[in-house]
Amino acid sequence: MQKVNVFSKKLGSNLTIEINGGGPSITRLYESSADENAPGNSEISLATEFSDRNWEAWVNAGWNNWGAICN
Amino acid sequence: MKTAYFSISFDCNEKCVFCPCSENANNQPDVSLQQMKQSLDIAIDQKGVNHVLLSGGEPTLKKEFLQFLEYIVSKNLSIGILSNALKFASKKYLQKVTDITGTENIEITTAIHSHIPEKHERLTQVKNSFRRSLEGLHNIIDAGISTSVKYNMINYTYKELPEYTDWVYKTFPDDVTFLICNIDINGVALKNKDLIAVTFEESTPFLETALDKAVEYRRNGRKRNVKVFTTPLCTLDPYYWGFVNNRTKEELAALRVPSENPVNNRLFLGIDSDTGTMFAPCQNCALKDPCPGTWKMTGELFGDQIFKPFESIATI
Repeated sequence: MQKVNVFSKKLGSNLTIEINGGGPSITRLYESSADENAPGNSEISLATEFSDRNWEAWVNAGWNNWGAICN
Repeated sequence: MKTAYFSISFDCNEKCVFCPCSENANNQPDVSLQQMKQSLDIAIDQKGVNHVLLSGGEPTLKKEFLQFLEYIVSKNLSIGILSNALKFASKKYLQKVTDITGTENIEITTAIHSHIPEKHERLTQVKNSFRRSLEGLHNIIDAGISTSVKYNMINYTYKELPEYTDWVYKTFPDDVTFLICNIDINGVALKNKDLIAVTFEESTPFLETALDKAVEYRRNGRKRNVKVFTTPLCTLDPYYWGFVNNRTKEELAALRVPSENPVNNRLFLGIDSDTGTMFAPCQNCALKDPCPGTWKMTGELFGDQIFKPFESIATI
């Protein structure tokens, strides 16, 4: 598993992104008051496989994944 | 889902100034119903296709559109349609479609280019197209079909994306998906690139404001799916990455693809999309895999310096 450290200007803190990790979904950030509580260097997870939608709990649910193929 | 992308007609009832098809796309020989059926059979046999995405041009203008739908249904495949929804302004026509497909296995995506009718119609170059596409969309939604409304990020309208986002939440029920896309600057769009092309640097602040609104709506109990396509992670604050549709590993089977030089009626098996992380700076980026990248032409127009690769801090 790979980890990447990134800085979010929006949150004013670092985030550690785990690729395909078991950490909480990145969408946790959007839950109520999550950003106020975001700890520095908090760990969140991104998935690489299209079929693995664990980090897409609400924003990417659904099946329209080629809908953007044309203008 | 294994998708076959079929560009079944280059006819269109709009003249969008950012169309990725070339102006002479319609000079290509017409693809016959027999060719479409045979191509689908091959895609099923060789690629295990189980979903067909119908595009064009405007696919509903294809004379044999309903017959091809019948054939797709007979193969037990699900159907996606990229349509401007003008024809669906007629409930009678929509009924003809759903009589064939039912409403469970069909999904329709329609781009509304601005919430300001005059601007939408400046881009489509067709009077009353805003009102008629909206009528079509509402008919589709009322019929119980899965629906997506698509916004294309272009120079002429990108600053209005936050207001457009409010309009989407006001106008459509929450089960309508909201897609925000960067566009393929090809064909007619390439000719009009001064009106069309916008850099990530210019558009990102407006995209982020729009996504802030989506988060706020979510916190106030709204449940809409919002997806951002063809936007590299390095162009967006990490806070917003949960909205970015991650990269598909799926290969497409495709019958014709829009481009500056469309190849006559050719069936492609196992092609990659024209989007991805194929740019030089992406090759050493630690987020190359989850990142959707963007359109190949975007990289060619704006140059590799728009991409900022990330370094890995640990591999476990």
